[in-house]
Amino acid sequence: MIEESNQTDLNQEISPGKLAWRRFLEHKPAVCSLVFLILIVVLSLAWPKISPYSATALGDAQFDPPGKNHWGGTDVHGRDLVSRIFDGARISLLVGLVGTMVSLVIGVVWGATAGYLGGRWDSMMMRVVDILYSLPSVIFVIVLITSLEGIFKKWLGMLNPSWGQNVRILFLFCGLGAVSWLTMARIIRGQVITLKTRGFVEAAEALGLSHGRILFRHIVPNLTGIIVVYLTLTIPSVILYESFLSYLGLGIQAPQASLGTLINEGARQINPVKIYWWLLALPGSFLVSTLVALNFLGEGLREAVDPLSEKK
Amino acid sequence: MRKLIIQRLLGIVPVLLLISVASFLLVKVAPGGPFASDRNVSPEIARNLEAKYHLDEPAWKQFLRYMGNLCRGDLGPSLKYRNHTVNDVIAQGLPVSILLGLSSYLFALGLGLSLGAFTALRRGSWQEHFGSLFSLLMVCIPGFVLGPALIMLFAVKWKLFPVALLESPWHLILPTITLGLFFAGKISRLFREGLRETLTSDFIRTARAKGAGERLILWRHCFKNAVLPVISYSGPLLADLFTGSFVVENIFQIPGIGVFMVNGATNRDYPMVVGLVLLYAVILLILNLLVDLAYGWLDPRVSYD
Repeated sequence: MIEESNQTDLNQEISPGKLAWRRFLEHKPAVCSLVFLILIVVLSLAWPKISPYSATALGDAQFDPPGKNHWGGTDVHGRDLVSRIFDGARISLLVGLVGTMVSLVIGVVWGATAGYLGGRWDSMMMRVVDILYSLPSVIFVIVLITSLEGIFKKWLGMLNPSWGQNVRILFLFCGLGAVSWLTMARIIRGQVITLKTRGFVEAAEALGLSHGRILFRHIVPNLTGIIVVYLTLTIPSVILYESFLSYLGLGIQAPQASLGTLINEGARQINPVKIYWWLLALPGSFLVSTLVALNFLGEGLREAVDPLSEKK
Repeated sequence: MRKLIIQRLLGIVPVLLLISVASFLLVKVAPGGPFASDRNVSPEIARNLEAKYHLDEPAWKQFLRYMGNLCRGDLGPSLKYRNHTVNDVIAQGLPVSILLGLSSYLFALGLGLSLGAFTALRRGSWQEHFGSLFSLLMVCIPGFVLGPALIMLFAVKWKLFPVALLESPWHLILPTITLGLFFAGKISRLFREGLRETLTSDFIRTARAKGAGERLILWRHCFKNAVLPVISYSGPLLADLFTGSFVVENIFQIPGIGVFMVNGATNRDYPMVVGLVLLYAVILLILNLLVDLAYGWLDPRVSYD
């Protein structure tokens, strides 16, 4: 009797997803980060509805320090900084998410194909990755974004000039995805090479399934854990990259804002006469805390999905 | 050993060729020319400019011409900064970038190694968590936040350091911190992982059993093993640092070559881009060779036969 109940208990606990979730909950910084990130997402989505100030509404009070009226102060045009930050965070997070997804798709398809085909194809495809690694990615992304812009201006500019802003974000998705997939491809390739020799792949081959089906229906789903982990670790680097590009003036452009452009605006207001610290400190610390939270989340997920990676 | 070095140096040549083809193509394929952003250029002048820089020729001819000049050590004229050749830009900017890069590297190494050792040795205590949080924070603060923040506090408010430019060692401090803090965080995490792994290995237990003190164990037995990941990270890191950082050079108005790399790409200044990318690749490949040699020296088990 007792043994039997133990047995069922064991069976219930054995679900790997549940085990991983439990391990995740034990990682306190990761759980706090998750709550924090959810809060940020909800707030940045809901803020325009709650706040009395629109992010783009110009006001009379220029450079108002943080106070009762404007919790985060105002900028050079009298716009409410808190509304601007949430506006920017929405775009930064969106770009981070979609850019990461693009890099995920490219990286998984490229890495999995190379690992699965093996041999000459594998070494050729990975050589491409090596070469792209040794080119400074800044150049690649700048050329990509400016040339996409040139092409789109020709085609879409005639159709509808007001699309400009949104098209810009689209370039960012592509450009950031195109430079961030290299590490993902390497990891996926390594995993596929070890999975390829496993019994279930052989079974699928024996059943006569096509290569594409074996690869994307049988092998890739086994990589979900590691993909999720690297996804959360790629998002902060993409957000950082986006801020950098916006800082260069290649990313989001006014009147739209991202965290990068807000920081840039704050940095430009530095002058020896009067210090407007909030313009730099608030978006800066918002960006840094988001990045820290995403990194903690990634670490927590890694320990949950792959407990062996934590060396005891 | 000498054979290895010669072999590796010869191996660099085809890689450089590939990289120059790739970066040349990249800039050529993109629409828009180097003179597209100049205002009020009449078609005749534009045509003359293009003829002067051979831009009216087919791309393969341009590439061959470029490679021919390259063999003679001439990286060509800059298409944007018309009174300068790419060689000039490198000759003027590279020493500055290397100076700043070296000081940032030393800063990152000092801070990173000590923080890494601090956290690895205080396993499980609040100090470890604090140290780890600190190293994560360093990785998460981008230069374009840190640089302006440092200027605002230390240069504008308290007037301890100069705001910008590079005239004395005193000017170097803020840019060094801005550039180096991120890498200090990376190095501290790498070194902590390395130390943790080494501290649990058998030969350390033997050393402890023989009664060696903790300090001796750390510096005599652990250090060489634990620092290996940091050494292999140093190759690409130094290559990055030596070729300059756009953000830091832009914020502190430092005349390095990082700015030219980014501006070259935005302006389609292809001799500039290809030249600087090649410079980066040469530095990277040489540093990687040095890293491998250092590896063999630190860890005699590694052999290159």
